[in-house]
Amino acid sequence: MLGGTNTDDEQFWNFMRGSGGSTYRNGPGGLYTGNECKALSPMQLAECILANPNIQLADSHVSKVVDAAYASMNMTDEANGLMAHTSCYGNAPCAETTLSTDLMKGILDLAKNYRISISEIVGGSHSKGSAHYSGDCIDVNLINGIHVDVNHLTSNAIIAFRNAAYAAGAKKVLDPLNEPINHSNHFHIQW
Amino acid sequence: MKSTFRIICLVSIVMLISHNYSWSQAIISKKLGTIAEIATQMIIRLDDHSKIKIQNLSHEELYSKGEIIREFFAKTSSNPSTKNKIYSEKKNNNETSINLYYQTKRVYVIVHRIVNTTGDMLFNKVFYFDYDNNCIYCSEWTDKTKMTYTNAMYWESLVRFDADYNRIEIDPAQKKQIIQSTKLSLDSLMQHFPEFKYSLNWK
Repeated sequence: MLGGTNTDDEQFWNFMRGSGGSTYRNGPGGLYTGNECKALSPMQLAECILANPNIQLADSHVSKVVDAAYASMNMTDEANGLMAHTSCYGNAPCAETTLSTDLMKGILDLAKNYRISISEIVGGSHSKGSAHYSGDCIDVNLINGIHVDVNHLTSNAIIAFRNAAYAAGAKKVLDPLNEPINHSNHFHIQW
Repeated sequence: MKSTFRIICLVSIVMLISHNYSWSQAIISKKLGTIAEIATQMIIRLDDHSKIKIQNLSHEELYSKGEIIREFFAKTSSNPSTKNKIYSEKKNNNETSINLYYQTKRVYVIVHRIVNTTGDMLFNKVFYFDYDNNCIYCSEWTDKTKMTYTNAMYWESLVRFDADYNRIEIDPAQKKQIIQSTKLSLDSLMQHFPEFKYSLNWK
């Protein structure tokens, strides 16, 4: 069980974000015991994610738009106690938000059994009102170094990862099998 | 007077129905037009990308274009109008399958896959084709422990990159070897689908 926060705690940690965030790193005295993150705050959860070799965070958008809302930047901002930026193009609201603690715990849970590449968190252009913009959702485009689509992953593998996402607390999972029109090449995982 | 009023009402109703019919026809036409437009855009997008001098692309550009092309072929594979032919055989308890996605004579994707008895993927090789059934992309995943996917893509020249679209530098000898092995494996797969013409003209 990861060190957790509840809704009341979130107010406290939102307040604490202004203090500059966590400086913990992996390694001796770091945030990991084995592959278990012992983070207590959202900033420390983000630190765990950044230090986890099973989690790759994209440093660009597929749209090629250059901004401060890449997945890597979102997580770095969270770890530094800053607000994560959404993008400002397409349907994106050009706003700031925090990342949900459930989302970060879920990412860490998934990374215990999978190596995942996260293409978008808060950034990029998604449908209007998307859960991405509120920091509750990630897009995963590579699992164990394999592209997420019907040509590269077997149906069994897609279903297994979908179930793993639900087991990690996800409320909604869209993928190439259950929603091939808009999610032919990535998992949309919402907490 | 009463009958005149009835005639006017009747004519009005007929006109209203007729107008609604043509309006709904217009909506249907517009919807069909939109679908056709989207399909055309997808084709144009792919065509544009196939003409790009990829050697000069940055990592970000390569990532973006690779994802767009992969999305195009994933959508095509899932498209209800896309048909597929499957060749499969069992060897050493593992199941080998070759799945060819096509529309009429146009080949889009070939997936060569080996899966063991527990459903784990042991090998996966994917080929993408352009409008002339000319192979433009080949990716191969063979190692579960290393978790790497190496891809070869051909536009104006052969480019090799890993799953994260980081460029892998290759010397001329490696390049020649990749082209030869890709062509040999494609030739071997296409023996099962002699009705389709194809080519691989990488240099």
